[in-house]
Amino acid sequence: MKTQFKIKGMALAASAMALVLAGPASADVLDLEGKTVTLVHNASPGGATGLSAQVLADAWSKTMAGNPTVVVQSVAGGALTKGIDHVMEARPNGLTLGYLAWQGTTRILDPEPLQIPFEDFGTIAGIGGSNFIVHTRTDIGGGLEGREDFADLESLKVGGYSPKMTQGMQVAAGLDLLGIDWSYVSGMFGDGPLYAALQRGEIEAYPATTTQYIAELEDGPIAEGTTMAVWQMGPYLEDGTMKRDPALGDVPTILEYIEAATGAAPEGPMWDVIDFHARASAPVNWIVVAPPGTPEEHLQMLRESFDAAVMTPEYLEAATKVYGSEPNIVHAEGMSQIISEVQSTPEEIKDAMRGLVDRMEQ
Amino acid sequence: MYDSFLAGLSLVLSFPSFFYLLAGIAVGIWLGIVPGLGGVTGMVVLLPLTFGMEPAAGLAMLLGLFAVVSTSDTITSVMLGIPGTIASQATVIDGNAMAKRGLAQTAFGAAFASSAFGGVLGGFAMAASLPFALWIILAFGSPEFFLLSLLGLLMVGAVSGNAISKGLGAAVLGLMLSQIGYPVASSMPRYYFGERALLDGLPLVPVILGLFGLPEMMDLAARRTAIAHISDERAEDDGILNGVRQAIRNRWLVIRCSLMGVYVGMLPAIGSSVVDWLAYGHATQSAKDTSQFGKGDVRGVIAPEAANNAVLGGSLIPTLAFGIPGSGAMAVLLGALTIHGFSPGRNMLSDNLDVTFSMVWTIIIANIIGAAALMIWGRQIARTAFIDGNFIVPAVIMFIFMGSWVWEPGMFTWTVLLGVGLLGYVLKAAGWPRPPFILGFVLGPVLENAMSITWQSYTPWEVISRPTVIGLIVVLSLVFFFAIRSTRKGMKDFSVEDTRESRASLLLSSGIAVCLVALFAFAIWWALDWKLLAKISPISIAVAGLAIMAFVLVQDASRLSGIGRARRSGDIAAGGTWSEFLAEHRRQMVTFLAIAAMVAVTPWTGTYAAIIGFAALYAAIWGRFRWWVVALYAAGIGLVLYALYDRVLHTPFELPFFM
Repeated sequence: MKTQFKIKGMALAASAMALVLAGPASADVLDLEGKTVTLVHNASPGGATGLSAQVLADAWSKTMAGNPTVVVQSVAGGALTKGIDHVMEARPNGLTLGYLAWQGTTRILDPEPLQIPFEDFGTIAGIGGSNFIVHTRTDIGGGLEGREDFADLESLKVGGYSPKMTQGMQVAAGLDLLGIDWSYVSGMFGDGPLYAALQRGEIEAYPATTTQYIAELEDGPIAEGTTMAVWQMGPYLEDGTMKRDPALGDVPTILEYIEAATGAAPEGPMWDVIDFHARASAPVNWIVVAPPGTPEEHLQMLRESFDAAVMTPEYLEAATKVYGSEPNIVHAEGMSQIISEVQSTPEEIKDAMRGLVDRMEQ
Repeated sequence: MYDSFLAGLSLVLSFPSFFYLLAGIAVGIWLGIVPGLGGVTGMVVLLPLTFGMEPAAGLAMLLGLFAVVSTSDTITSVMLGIPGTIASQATVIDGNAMAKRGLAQTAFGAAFASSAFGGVLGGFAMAASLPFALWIILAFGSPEFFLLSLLGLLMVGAVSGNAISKGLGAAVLGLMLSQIGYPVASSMPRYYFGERALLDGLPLVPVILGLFGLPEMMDLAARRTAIAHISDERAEDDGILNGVRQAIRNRWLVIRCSLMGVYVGMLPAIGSSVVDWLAYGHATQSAKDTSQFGKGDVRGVIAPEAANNAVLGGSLIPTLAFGIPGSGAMAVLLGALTIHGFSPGRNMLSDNLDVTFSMVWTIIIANIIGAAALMIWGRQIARTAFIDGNFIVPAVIMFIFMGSWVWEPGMFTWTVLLGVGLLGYVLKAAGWPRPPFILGFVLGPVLENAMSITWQSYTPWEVISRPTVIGLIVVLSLVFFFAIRSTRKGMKDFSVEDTRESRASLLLSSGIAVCLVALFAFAIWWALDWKLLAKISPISIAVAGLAIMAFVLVQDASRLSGIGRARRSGDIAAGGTWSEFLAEHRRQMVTFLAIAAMVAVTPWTGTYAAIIGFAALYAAIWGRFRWWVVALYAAGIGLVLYALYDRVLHTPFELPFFM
């Protein structure tokens, strides 16, 4: 039951619809002319979340009915919950919107008081960044000549931000499927610290972004043969296959790699974890929402103006610089489906994830 | 490389880059002066403006802004006793003491000259270090970070003065409070009491502003005087040039601390938050005469100011070469680089070396211009030391509270600020030095992170066989030896807190120790069932805390019995009385209650009414100003709230209940 995500096709259709509908604001659409709309994000000031929110704000202010000024405001703290709560409790008067780091697929493992009722928001869209690769040293396990040698490793030391990093979980689950014994080192926040740790030998592999692959790895250590990209991980496309980032060349998807290495399609709880994150986490890094109670007509205007904004060349150019590749846009319907699916995640998948987290924390 | 070095200079000096650099410097000077704002806030506000600029111009504006913040933040540290930014914490100790003695201009002259030199040397040292900077960064893994953090903690001795056991107690309390929230290597949040706001731990900005800012303002309000204690306009010999001469006289200290700043700056997360303490500790440990430290020794200003300006040059290296932003400012700079099409990595040290050098030149030029401008204005700024304190208190209270709110909007932030402010005042009244608390609080997560990664990545043999680890253990041992020696020899006159020891203050100190015994015991009991990586750090800290508290209690009991003996032998005034102690602190407590009332009514009245109301009532009742002065003052406060925090910084204010 894979969710069908509509990426570019739907965006084009939606933006075309937005253009057709453009004109005098409906009487039920809140009047924003001459007003300031605050786009709240839940990370610290500066950084990727703030930067991508700013890029969106610049584009959205031009397409939103009434052309309000859109400013970006950081409401950080509480493991990202403070900003979420801020938008959740904001008045539905159109003046507060949320650009919130998602992390829904691992947040469901938190204790009950920390759960977020994402379905209560007025969902506008979701935005995802680039694919991830497994980036590994080649001087391990007696030396890796080619990508296929990776599957023969007996053990591997993997690095990540934290035990609940979704890509870290996918890598760990993939290693389980390949029969590779792994240990996990957390506490390195971002591509840079992870790459430095790899060079120091503190870790042997980590999930790296496509951005880092293009900027630093492809023509550097990978071209020199000191490291390699083993597989890539991203969201599913409409046809049910995993998105292959063209920038990553011939790097296989995690499914292709495991199939080639084991001779069979992967299955079982570990594959379910990988599949779950590919469906519900990989497409979306940030959700764009309005406070609960926002009038439906206004919400519709926000969705349409958002769809129009993210198709403008200015936005795409700026966003591509920030995300490393063209952003993955998940429209309102797709985002609502993802939220719904995450909120009803089967206990077996949660247990499998908890098991991985327990092992990562040893 | 030489061509790129010159090409970098030409990028900065070309139009419009130089114009934007000057604009950045102007904004940076102003941001450093306002408590709680700092360079990161300015960079975040200006970042969108740079999107449409030439890369060199945008980077010049952002870096120019940030480079001078650690020069101008000295003003707040010296004049108000509140760290203008996290980089100027240590300057508070002797800088503020100098201002109280009427030597504000001398402190400024010494600080600005040291800052300029530190910044320039930092820039050149960064450029000279590029060929081996990558080696340094890669050689320093988690075990080395752990040892460096321990080295930072050793500075507790240097910033505790003659109250070593209480300093250790404050440090361990800071370490313990840094354990709140999610640990780096575990998915189990700690000590959060079901409160989401505590999941990321206590926020740093309100903790620093509360610990230093509120107690200083409570004291200033209670004194009902100007900042300077002296009645003369200024002390004899006070002057900017005198300060510059002092910096030149202590040039080797300036050079040593600048180099310390560059190389500590290369180590992400340790950098600016700790380097000023390291430099201050070095100044006290390397001085022959330590009797004036804490009372206004100019070396206590020179050392941290030289180091904290040199940090920026060093911190650029991991940011540009690895994309490792060691601080919030570097994260914003990374964002600016990204939006202008640059990617951190080896290309910043090869293909884009001219851009990298343009940043080095920006730092150098900004430091020179910033220091020169501040020296020109320093005389006027120093005069504020003689302004009626009743004008200063409400305005600074607004900046402190709004400065912390900008970082994490919400009543939780103000509650933390208020709580830590009270804690800071009580610690001060009990003779517990506050600087070690901050040192522990800042270093706690760095220590734990390094320890967790070391635990997960290395075997014990791999750790102890690393040459850099062996070298650092030798350095640690030497520093420890000198710390012990200087403590035993000459620190007895060095008092960090200006607290008069009395029977009541000793009983208060013992009361704090007893409370902390209960806190540490509770922390251990709660952590027993946690996963290993979640519990190892808090339990270790709490066990150490219990041992230190026992020592504090024994020491206090010994001093109390000394007072008892003096009384029995006829000195009935020995140790003072409770009524004297309460009289000494009554006005401060009234001020605190007034501030607490402002916080308490905010959810009903909203931010504007609470802060403007507090300022107006304070000016009318406490300051006894005429009605039109009160009205003008309150209007000025309202204007700053609206123009700066609402319109420029887009701070989400608390609205009144009826809106």
